[in-house]
Amino acid sequence: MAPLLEVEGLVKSFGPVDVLHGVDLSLAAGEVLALVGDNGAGKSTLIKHVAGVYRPDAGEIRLEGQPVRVETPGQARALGIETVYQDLALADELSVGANIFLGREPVKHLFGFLPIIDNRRIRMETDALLARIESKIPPRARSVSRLSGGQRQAVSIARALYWRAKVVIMDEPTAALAVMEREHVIGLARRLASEGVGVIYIGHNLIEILEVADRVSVMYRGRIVHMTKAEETNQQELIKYMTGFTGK
Amino acid sequence: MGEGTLSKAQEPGVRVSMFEGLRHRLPLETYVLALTVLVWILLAVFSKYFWTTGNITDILRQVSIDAILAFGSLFPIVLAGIDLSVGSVAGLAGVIFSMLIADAGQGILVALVVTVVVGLIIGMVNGWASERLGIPPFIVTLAGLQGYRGLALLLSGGLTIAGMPPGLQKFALSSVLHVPSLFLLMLAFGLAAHFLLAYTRTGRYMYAIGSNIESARRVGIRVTLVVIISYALASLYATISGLLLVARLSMGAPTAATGSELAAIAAAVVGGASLFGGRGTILGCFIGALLFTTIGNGANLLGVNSFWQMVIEGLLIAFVVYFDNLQKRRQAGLG
Amino acid sequence: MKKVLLIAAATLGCTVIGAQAGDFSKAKIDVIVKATTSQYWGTVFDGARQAAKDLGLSIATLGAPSELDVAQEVQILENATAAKPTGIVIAATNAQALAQPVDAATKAGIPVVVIDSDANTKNYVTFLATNNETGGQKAAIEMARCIKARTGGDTGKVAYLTALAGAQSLNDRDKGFVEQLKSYPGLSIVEHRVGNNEASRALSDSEDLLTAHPDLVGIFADNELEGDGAGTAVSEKGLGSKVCLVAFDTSDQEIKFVRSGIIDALIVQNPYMMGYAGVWYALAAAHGVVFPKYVDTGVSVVTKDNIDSPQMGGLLDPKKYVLSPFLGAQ
Repeated sequence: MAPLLEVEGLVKSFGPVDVLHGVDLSLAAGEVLALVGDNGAGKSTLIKHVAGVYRPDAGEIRLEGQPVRVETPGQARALGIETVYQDLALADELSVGANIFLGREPVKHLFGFLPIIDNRRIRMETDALLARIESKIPPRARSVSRLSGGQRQAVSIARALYWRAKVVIMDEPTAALAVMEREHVIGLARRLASEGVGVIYIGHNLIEILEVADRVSVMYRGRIVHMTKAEETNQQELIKYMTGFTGK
Repeated sequence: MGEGTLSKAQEPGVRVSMFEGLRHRLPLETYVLALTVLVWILLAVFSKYFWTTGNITDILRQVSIDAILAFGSLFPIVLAGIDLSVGSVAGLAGVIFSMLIADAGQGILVALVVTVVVGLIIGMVNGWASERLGIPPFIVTLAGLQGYRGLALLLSGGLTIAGMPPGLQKFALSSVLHVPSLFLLMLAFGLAAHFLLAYTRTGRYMYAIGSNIESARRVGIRVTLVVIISYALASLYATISGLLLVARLSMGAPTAATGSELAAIAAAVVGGASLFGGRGTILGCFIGALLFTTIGNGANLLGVNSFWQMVIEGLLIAFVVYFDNLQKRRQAGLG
Repeated sequence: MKKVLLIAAATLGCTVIGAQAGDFSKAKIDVIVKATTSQYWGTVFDGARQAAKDLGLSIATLGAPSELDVAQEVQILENATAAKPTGIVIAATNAQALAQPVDAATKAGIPVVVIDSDANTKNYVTFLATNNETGGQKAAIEMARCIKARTGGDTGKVAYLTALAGAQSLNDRDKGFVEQLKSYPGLSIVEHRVGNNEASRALSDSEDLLTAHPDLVGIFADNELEGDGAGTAVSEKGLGSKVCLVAFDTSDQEIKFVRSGIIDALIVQNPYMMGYAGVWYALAAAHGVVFPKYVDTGVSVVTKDNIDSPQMGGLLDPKKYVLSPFLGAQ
């Protein structure tokens, strides 16, 4: 069986600046693949191609063996690729439920013809979903602006879970969080994997990376320079690859 | 926001009773409504003419046109945008409509359709320019504020346009079961706007865009389309209020609704809308407009100096915004 | 005063007659108004164009689109001065701001005739304008007459509406009205509202006034938009035969209200004559004629009875204007 997600020969430059020089990557269902590298190594550019934010100059993305075009965030979502951004991409003034269903609201018809949002269903599904991920988020919170950073990440992750994402990209999900909340988010990432989701996890904290990931890919100047199982590596080795002290 | 839930104010992670939730934060509309009721009671006490059928009818008629303009300006405000051109668009719409009737000899229906189409196009251009060209809506609609007023003056040569069919004014003065038709029309437009904002996807996307435009884009919302719809609605409502002004005065005036964009925005803000986007309701707009109309009416009935009236209105806006900020800060402390 | 005017007019006549034998086709007079987009200033231009035709000279009709744009008017005047026309006719949007540029034009040897609104200087040929205070006085007289005719007495409550705060001409009208009304001790002013030069605001204010004072017998509206709004309120409430409404100016709507008995009297200025005489005076001054510093173009009172008379026709519609010997207001 083909891997869940494959990226092959991805090339991207912004004007004269080459950012990605032919990147290959593969992700299996049910695994957490960590992507590490120094700032500017190309991690964010890489995942933004998968998320439909950028279009590649060359290369191919395959989902479950099929080549796919991911040219808008909407297409990515339709294919089952969800992103949990580091800048907490939630609509602050909307409720938890409205955020989870944003862009895909269930609709019912008033008087048989007027399409309106089925808020009752959103509430019920949200309650069930939050119970499922054992979250302490008040499900009826009027606006997510009142939630903590970790709770907001949990909402994003719950959103990915609810929509049966096949691939979830977590872009530095713990960057702005307190220690206790990190643990919660790491737990959620593992949980996604245990439900069969393929997770790409970008992070800087190597202790955290080694805790959450099954495999680790190291990026350096637009290339993947090292790929290893998490249990077969350590911080020193990763740092060596990240800083380019290994030849190449 | 359309969730219809009462438990609006739990602290994160802690379930609190509905009662405590209410104590922490009632929507701003509630306070403004209370203030409006208080002003009504005071006026009823201090002026024997306030609580008379004639005066209440006057107030209902006076508030109607202002409220429709305020409803319209809420859409861009929810988006974290603003439409400063609504007053000028109302003026221009009145001029086009009345010139089509008086000078071009068109029927009311043709004039109505043409004017509404012009209004919609203006709104779509506003939305398109601020979204696709990346010009801040403040600037786009500031240009509109000046430009459309200029166009109204140009078209009319600066003159008021008389010669409206008497039926128009008769309609503006008519009542159904003692409720002025203008007020009923305002209710209808208010309900339509409320329905759109609270119950449809388009409305929800407006709040989403106003809350976080990036997240709205990332979930695949067609931001440009929603923004254009929003500004088109603002212009549409402005056009309607311009037409009603023509009906009310039985003439088109190129200066009609001068400065009323600010009154409309003030009504929305006093009614709980946030200029930072994502918040605001039609009910709030209505209450805000009603409060301002009541203050104007009260000042006239009690013979309060016109300049003091302006000062009072200014203080009211400052007070409400301050109060809202205070509440938000208190919440932030809790969260 | 009258004698001076007669002399001036006679001299002017001679100059012009003499000149018509000659040729003014090279003469050019710039007419600068406060706002190019209003009926009132359009009428000023009409008068100026007629004068240009009669005299065989050319004029330029200039002005900012809005009365609020003082800076633009200053610029227009400065540009005109630089181009050295035969004469300049100007209405000063702001007395202070236009004073220095008018001085400068005069110093440059260009005769400047100020019309309608004065500039804060005496370095001009003449000031040709409505005496707004007199207009206000006439409004008070008409109101008293109307109240007398209607109630048989001369007592009652009246109110007045100011279109806009801070405009000198409106302040003068109000002052004339208030002062003159004092000569009718039975009439008391109970209310004064200031609007924002907008008919719908005037409508709301008038409605509320009529509610607050059910025994109101008179309203004075000091410009056309206030007149439109107050007229609508009075007609809505069916008080046309009870409230004496006197208003300034002549919008189409106001004229309709006069015909339907809602407005009892309109105080009408003579902008046509300001434009017409302005151009004549500027030309004459360029030929050395000296004028008195102030010439009143007069106000007329239009009522239902005289609205269709030929003299009024010209005031209400410049196309019907019939020129008659003009010697300033009597």
